[in-house]
Amino acid sequence: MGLITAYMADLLTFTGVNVARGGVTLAHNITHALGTGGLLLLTGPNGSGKTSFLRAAAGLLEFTGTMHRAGDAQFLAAQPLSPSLETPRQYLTYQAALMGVPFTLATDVFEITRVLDTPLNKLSTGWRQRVKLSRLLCGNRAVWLLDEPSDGLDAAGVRTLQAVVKTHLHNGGAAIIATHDPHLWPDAQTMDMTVPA
Amino acid sequence: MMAILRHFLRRMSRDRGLTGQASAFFALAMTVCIFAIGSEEVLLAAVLPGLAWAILLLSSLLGLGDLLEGEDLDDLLLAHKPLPALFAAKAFAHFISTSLPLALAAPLVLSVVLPHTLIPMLCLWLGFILGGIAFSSIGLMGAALTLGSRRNAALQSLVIMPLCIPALIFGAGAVSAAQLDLGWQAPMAFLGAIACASMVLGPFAAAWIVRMKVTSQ
Repeated sequence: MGLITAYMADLLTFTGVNVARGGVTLAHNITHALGTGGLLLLTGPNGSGKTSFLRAAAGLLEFTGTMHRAGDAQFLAAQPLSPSLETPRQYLTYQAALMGVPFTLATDVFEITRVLDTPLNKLSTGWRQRVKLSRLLCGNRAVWLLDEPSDGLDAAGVRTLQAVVKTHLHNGGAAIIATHDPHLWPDAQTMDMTVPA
Repeated sequence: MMAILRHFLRRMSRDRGLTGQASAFFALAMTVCIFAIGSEEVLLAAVLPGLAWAILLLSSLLGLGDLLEGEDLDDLLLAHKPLPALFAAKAFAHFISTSLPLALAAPLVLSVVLPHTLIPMLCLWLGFILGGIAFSSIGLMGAALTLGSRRNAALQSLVIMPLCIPALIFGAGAVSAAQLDLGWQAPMAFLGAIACASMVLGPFAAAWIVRMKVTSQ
């Protein structure tokens, strides 16, 4: 053989990771590896630790155990964008500057071009969510950590989100998505965060 | 970095109206004090510079309560840029939205009340700029220390007030010295040193505190 056809570099590995919040262990002894194209869904009821685990994976919350991550992650919190006077263009320019890249909307799959100069406080929840998700298209980070990304989206928006994630995985990225709609990503591995009684 | 600074300025000046708040507070407080003190010129000349400094300190406390609150803290922590640099930009934006307009306007306004005092006015102008930088940087540290605690605005004032007092004393002292034709350079130099030190150290301290607080909550 002598030829590697698909080099499965692990972008994100967890070995015996525990995440506690407020003295309660939410994620217990998690061992998992995500290679290129890997998608992991976090499911479970409210308060089961999906967000805490994502924050730990992003480096925003302490954990015990070992974690390896190839580069910085792109973390999108579940909180909707605050309805400020800022326009989506200004918001995305700022976010791109934080990631150290110039703002260009290479592909406007979320169709936000026509609202790019409308202040965020004039946009509906769904449109603000589209603007927030458009951050994914500005950056170039390999690991995406998305908390409830389909919140507030209409059917077309959800389909776009599915396509964007699929493209990212196809391009060699990896993603962890906390969601209550695991059927949106039928091919993914699922981790149930429910604490066993 | 300019895009980031512009974002902070927009959030502070436009969304929260901080510039208007600080300017209105300064103007109102000065006016009320001048009416209360009376129109005796000698007395006014003696107390107004110190009063202006005290009110500058109080108006630069505005907007510190939610300086670091809100969803964008996560974005800052995960940014490609070092956190102290982002916090320095935040403190600078706070300075531009609160103290800088006062630094530009206050000497002109006071010159109506206290005529023929060029050097003290220049001292007040320069001192307000240096003092404003010091107050905003120290305020950033205070905001970091009280992050996540309830009713943090009151606690914050308690925490940062003692740290702001030296700048206040040297700043007001420089103006008083200039009014008496004494050397104002020494207190101004001390004020400059305080401004430089807090501008450089404040963002590092705040970044260290915030990273620790956010990751261990």
